[in-house]
Amino acid sequence: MSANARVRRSNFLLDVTLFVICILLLTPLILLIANGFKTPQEMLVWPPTLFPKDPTLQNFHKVFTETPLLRWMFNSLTFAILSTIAIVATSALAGYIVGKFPFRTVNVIFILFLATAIIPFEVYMIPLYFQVKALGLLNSVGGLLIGYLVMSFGIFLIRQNVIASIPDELLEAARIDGAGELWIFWYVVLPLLRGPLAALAVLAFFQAWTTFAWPIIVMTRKTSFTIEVGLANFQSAYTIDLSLLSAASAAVMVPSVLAFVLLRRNFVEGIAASGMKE
Amino acid sequence: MLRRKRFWFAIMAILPTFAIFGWVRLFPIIETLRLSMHEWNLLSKNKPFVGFQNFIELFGDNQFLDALTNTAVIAFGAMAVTIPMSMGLAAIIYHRTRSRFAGFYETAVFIPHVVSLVPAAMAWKWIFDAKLGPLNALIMGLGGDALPWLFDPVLSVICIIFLVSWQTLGYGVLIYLVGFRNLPKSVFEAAQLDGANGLQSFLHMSVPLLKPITLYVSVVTLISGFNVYAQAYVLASDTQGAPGRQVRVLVLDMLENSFQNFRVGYAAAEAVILLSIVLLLTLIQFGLLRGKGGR
Amino acid sequence: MATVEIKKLRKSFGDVETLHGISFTIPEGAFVALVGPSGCGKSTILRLIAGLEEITSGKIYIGDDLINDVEPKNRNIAMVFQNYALYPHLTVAQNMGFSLKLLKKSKAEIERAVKHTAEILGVDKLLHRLPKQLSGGQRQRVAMGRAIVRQPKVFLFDEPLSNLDAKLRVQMRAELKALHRRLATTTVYVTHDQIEAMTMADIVVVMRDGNLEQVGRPLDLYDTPVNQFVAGFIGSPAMSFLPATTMAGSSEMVLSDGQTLSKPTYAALDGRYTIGLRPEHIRLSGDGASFKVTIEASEQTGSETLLLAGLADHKVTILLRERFDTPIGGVHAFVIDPAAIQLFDTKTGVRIET
Repeated sequence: MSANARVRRSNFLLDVTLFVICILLLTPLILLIANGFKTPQEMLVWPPTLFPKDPTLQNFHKVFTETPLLRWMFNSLTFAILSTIAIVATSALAGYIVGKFPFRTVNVIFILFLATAIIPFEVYMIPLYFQVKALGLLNSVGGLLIGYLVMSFGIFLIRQNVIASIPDELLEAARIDGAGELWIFWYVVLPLLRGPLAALAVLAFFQAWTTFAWPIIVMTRKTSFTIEVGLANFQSAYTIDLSLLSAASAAVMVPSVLAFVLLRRNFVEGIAASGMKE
Repeated sequence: MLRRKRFWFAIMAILPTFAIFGWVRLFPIIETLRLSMHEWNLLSKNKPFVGFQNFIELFGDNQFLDALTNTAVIAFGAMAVTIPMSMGLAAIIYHRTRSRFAGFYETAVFIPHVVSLVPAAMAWKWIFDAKLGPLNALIMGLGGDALPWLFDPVLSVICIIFLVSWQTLGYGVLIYLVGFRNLPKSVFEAAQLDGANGLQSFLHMSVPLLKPITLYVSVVTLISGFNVYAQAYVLASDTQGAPGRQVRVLVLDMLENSFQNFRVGYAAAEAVILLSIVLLLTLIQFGLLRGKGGR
Repeated sequence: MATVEIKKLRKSFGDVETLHGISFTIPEGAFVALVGPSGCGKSTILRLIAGLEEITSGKIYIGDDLINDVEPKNRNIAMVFQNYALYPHLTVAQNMGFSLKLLKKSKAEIERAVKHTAEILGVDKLLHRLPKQLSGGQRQRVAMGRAIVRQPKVFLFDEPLSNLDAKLRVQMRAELKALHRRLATTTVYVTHDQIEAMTMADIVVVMRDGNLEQVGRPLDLYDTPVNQFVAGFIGSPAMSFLPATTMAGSSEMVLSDGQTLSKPTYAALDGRYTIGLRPEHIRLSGDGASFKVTIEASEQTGSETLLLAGLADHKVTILLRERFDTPIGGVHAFVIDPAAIQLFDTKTGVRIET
């Protein structure tokens, strides 16, 4: 067989394998969405059907009108957006300072930022809970936000970018021209950080959107649940109605997947950056 | 003169962030360490110092040891599954980088990682359901016996490992793809000329050259494995429907001790143990990396 | 050891054809240099011979075997890469023994072969070092060792000396040549440095833009280049070119400033031509055609003088094997043996025999 044909054949086999694997990986999610369209009775059929025989929209209708799902989505969205803004703002400024102002005090502060980066949130969330409680912010987005105002990794990411792509001479030139430090930060540094800040924003949003352990202890009132918590508790409240549960899960899942597919580049950049931090 | 001005600007600018940081990160961490050596039942003002008693008690506590074992098994199990699969998958996807489907592969593989934890767990919960799920239907269709996936102590752990691996696979593939892209192409051409076929190149060249990445992915998967909570919460409800009780994990045990058993100091001690495990794993990673001659 | 025959080789990357039907033969045991400016296709040919790229059309034979569809590992060739491509995670011994290990040879056999090759190359004391612990020259030797151990029929070198400093390069040139004499394996050597090609090769292949310009022995290329490109490429410093006119019946070539150079054979020519003068053929005094130039720049190296001069609105380079001090801007006369003047067709660049 000619070399050309041989390469083509092996490529084809690899493509087939990859295709099958990808479909298999996505199957659980596809089934979940399909389940959302089944009637509650069909969910209890044995052996189970893969795709609905009589697709219905009643579950989705019910989920959006009779359950607090929309409320939960609103909570999650507000929280995620606010957290993203806070993290991007603090990381941008702090990252710039630790990157371009190597004073000893600043370096010590940076080491503190870095050292706590490896410590998982779950380790210190209990005392943090009591701090939030003391402020009377339980069951509020503000309380949720307390845990997600800063991201050590975000500061690190911006610092690396600042060091790598903003030459000192640029800042010196602006200073000589008489620009104030804040002006420099806003008009010179920030525009140059657009890419990494976008990646960081996606990362921060994703982190806030999917967090579970923190919201579950801070939010105890059903109306203040985030999506993750609401869904998780859904199962005990609506145990019989699996189709409703599936519809709710699907409703939550589809927007994040769509957002990912659209923002893939930024996402991948952010996550790859987190991989290279080592 | 200029330097002084710049110094003050830096301090002023970083102060707000550092203040927030101190309050939401440094303070709670120190509190955790402090509380672990005290006894506090949430209600009283009294928080007597008890030294290492909490820790000693923990190591005799069966529920804690159960949680520790389960969590360790899940963490190492997920790592053992994720590493080879993501490396292999990344190798194949990288090989087909020029295919028009490359974007599809990368996206599809990563979607499980992007889907938030709870909906994903829901999807799998149905699949694993003993009475209604398609997995048992498939097994029975092939002539086997239905298994109580989510209620058998061993099987339920396996289910969680499976779910966690499924979610982490995309992340691993992504990191490995970056790694593959940074491998020197000429080294592989030399291997090809020396007579290596695809598989031999992978085993003798890719795997050893990717060691730093493997190390990194291992530690990250292990650490997030030790912090597993949501997946166990959803998948492993016990027979009364109480979430997460079927497979106790460390975080669950910790939260239970704190908020249901009213033993905050005790729970803090558990948190400190979790922290020690994480620090140990990170140190091992750095040690191993340095041992290989560093970067 | 085997012959290598290239027949009408074409290579396209997508829609762009980079090799336009190349044909030449390499005799058994010969050291052939493929030389030319960047992008001329010489590395492409090498990679096609190795099997690292696919042939678009044409044939390559090693010995009597058509190897178009043979996998690289079965072609019995070995290659030394420009950046050596040593396996960074393996020791020197493991690097050199890798191919044998894949062939499932016994440990003892591998050790013997590696030791033997290492001794030839002088790296036997470095066997347990990693590539990053070696100097540039040592790495180069290990890369060669890796190739030699396989006892291939053909060696392929892809600009192996270009990453070394000048002094080391000169030393390695001599060593490579000695190695070739000792092993007598057919060698294809790609370089952009024509001095390397001239000093090391039995046969030189000059290429430009995917076309073969000339194939021949180094001195033949120097004495009788087939066209202006080869004439200007081979020889350092490069040949100087300037336009000249002649009339039928006149044995003089007239330059644009009125000066003339005489040669009996010019009488047969009529019209505009391009003259080529090699810097080293121009002398201060003696028999031959004489002409005056304006000195523009002068470089003394101690034993030689390199002059950049203006002649008839063009630049001429003059290389004198002696010290010569002359003021910049001054006019001076030089002499050249008429037999050394090359003549080229102005439109096609083809050399004209005179």
